[in-house]
Amino acid sequence: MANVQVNTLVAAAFAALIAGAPLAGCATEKKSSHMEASASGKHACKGMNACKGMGACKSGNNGCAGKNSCKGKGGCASAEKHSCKGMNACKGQGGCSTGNNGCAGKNSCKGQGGCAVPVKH
Amino acid sequence: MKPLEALEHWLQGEIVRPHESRSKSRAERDASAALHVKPSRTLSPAQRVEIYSDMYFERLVEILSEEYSAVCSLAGHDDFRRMARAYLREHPSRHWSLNNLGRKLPEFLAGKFRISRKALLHDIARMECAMSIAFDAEIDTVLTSDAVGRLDPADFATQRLVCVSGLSVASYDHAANSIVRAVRQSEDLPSLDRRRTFTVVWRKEWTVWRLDLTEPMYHILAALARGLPISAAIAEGTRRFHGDPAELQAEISRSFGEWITEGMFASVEKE
Repeated sequence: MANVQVNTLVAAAFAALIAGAPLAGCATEKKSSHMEASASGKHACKGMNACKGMGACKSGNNGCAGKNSCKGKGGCASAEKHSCKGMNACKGQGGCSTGNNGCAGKNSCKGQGGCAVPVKH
Repeated sequence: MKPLEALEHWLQGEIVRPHESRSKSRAERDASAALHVKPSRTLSPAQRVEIYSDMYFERLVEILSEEYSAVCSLAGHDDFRRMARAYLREHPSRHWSLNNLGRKLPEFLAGKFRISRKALLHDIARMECAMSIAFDAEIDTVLTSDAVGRLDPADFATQRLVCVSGLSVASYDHAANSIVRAVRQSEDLPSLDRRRTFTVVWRKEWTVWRLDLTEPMYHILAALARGLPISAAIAEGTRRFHGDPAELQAEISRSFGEWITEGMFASVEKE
């Protein structure tokens, strides 16, 4: 590649950054064919029915729609994890306040739902 | 130490002690617990305390098995618990949040601990650790095409593209991305043979994404993530490309367009 001019490639990169991805914005199918979303239950409220369908999967998640990755995950409160999960002692520990738009100060996150949290598949 | 403080200190010690190798005899445990806890009709004071101690350990293992679900699946339940127990002795929880509890598992698996498929598990753990880091990362503002359009093209080559927080670019000795996907989606496993692959893991809004890269694009993006100026990063990629130069230019155009569209960059900085 000694004959390749880096300057030419830099110019190509610059143009690409301005143009964005080809068909960006209408390439959901194409995008989901080679990108993988990542989900694992890291919610404080994992397994609680109140979290189901609260909407975390609908935020900018083109690959998530229609996939079973969202099932039982979405929109749960708090990305923090305590050792006291399942015990009353979670109350007042503070894990409910991180990235948690509606749960701050509420009791143990239980049944709160509706808060934003990242998802992984 | 005040009485309540002393009681809390004692109880915490009893809860974490069995998992941190500070063993006591049954007689010692009974005598210690009897000072603070009454027996029930069926359980001794020490047995009542052990309920909490066992629960604590199970919760830690649960966290690790959630964070490393593909490792857990590939290792098998028994081996994963054995690994988790050994790991927690070396890296016990030291913070009320357990978000970082498993961060050193890849490092631990690179050490002396013996387990079958160790090299594979190490690779998969590295990827799942990257996913967790991206998951927990702060939300950055994302660089837009419009913002790049306002830059002076003459300065572009010497500037740096700053990647979003939590973005990880790494090479693997297995098809880690395909394996993680197959395990997590309950699909048939791809080949577990050694094969070099390259993957970027990052978070876009509320979703953690993984994207496989070609080797030249891996070197470019990794160099950008290390803070190299754009021209130097691109030079890193050209050194690893051995095909038609037009193909490389096309691949750079496609990749940079995709990277900015998918929110991998936070800003542009001057050198």
